[in-house]
Amino acid sequence: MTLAIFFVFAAFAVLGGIGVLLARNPIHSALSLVGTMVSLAGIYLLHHAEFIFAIQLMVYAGAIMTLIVFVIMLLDVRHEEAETERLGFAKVFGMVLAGLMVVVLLVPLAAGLTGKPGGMTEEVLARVGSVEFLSEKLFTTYLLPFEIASVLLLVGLVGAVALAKKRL
Amino acid sequence: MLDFLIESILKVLVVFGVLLFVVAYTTWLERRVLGRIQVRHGPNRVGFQGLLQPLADGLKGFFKEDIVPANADKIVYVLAPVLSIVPALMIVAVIPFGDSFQLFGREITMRITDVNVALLYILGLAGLGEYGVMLGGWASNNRYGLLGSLRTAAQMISYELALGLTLISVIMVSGSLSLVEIVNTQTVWWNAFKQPLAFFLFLICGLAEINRTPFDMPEAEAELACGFNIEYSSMKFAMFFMAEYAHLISLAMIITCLFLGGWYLPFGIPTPGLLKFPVFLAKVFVLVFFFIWERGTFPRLRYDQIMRLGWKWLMPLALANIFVTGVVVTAVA
Repeated sequence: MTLAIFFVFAAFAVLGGIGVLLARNPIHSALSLVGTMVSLAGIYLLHHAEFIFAIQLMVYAGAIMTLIVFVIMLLDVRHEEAETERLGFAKVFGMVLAGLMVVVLLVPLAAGLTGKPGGMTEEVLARVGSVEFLSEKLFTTYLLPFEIASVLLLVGLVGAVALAKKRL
Repeated sequence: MLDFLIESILKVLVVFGVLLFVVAYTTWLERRVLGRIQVRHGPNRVGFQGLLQPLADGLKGFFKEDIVPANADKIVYVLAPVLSIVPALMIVAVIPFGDSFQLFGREITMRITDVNVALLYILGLAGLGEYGVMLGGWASNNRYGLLGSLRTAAQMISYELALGLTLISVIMVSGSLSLVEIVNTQTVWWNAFKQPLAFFLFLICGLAEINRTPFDMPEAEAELACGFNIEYSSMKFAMFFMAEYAHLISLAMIITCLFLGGWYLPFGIPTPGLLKFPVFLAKVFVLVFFFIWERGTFPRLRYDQIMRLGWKWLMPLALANIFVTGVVVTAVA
């Protein structure tokens, strides 16, 4: 049953991704992205990663996407600006990157899946995904990176205010 | 496995049935109480004391013509009410209504599920709930609607921060993210006594988060002519309306669990098993009544006042509360 639910979420995630690319209206793109984020959250939950599931909903599907939608509404971009048919540098670069991504994804398949179970069994996942385990690791083993990341975010915050202040 | 599935499905059906019933009658209660506050009668014609009014309103909603504005974004316009009501109903899945009881030799717990990240789940769904209101106003291609949407987005992002920060001090006191465990730590002293400031802040932020008076900026009848739902008619409007009241009731239930000791009587007075659910209901009712009462009492804040209150008062206060709580918790430990 878990597998069936996984495929439902996976299908929605992929559909959302395709929607982001193909939608002509930026709001539709953003909404498709929300769909993908929520489906991913569902997949996290299936893997017992409850904390990541909640954070994915709160931060990505909730806060960040709300801001993106907000900005699109404020700028009132109703439709994509006239399409550039020219093959610019950005497009070529994007194609190369996408090609590389496909190669990266295909290599393990070509090398052959061994079918042996890895270290991440159901029990390990259930233990590792809990808030208690994560927070203990975060505040003991990875305390320094955690603090550095928070300082970095604070710097970004102050920087954004400082930049915006000039225009106010 | 099958037992578990059947039990869960039955619980989901019962909980949502009761919830929708309560939502319908909260609208009746609100109109009657507001009527009393404003020295008029309110709906009292359909049935005894107007008790059939919600039913009549529902029927009317079904039979009204469903209008989609010509230049509206059709897909998003239809999707918005759904996006609004689904997260509102989903929140109830993690709320414990009481302890467990025995039925046909089975222990039935009075909640749909007890996830150990219940609080984060609620915050996540609250974040998703914004989309309905935001997109509804935008998709109807109406200036008032768009303004309502933009206000909603700004207001919710601002107050979600203070709301989350307020919760942190509660989590520090209780030591858990699960609502059941948070309730179980309040057998003697409710969190409202341990964390009075957090209780107060959460009440204010909660009201702002569900766009309730005095923070009903997205609607603001006087200036936006109803804001985000201005173009909506028939059942789509009814769905927005239901989502609003579902949010109201979930907020009351969340506050009951977080601050008012869930199904426990205060000061360690033992609560008999049979009384647990009524105690919970009574607390929720008092809160819902309070929300109606304050709607009839407080004038709406101006947009800039709302923003100033959120960022310059509530958020620093919540941060200070976390700091003080941290000091006290470490000192006690």
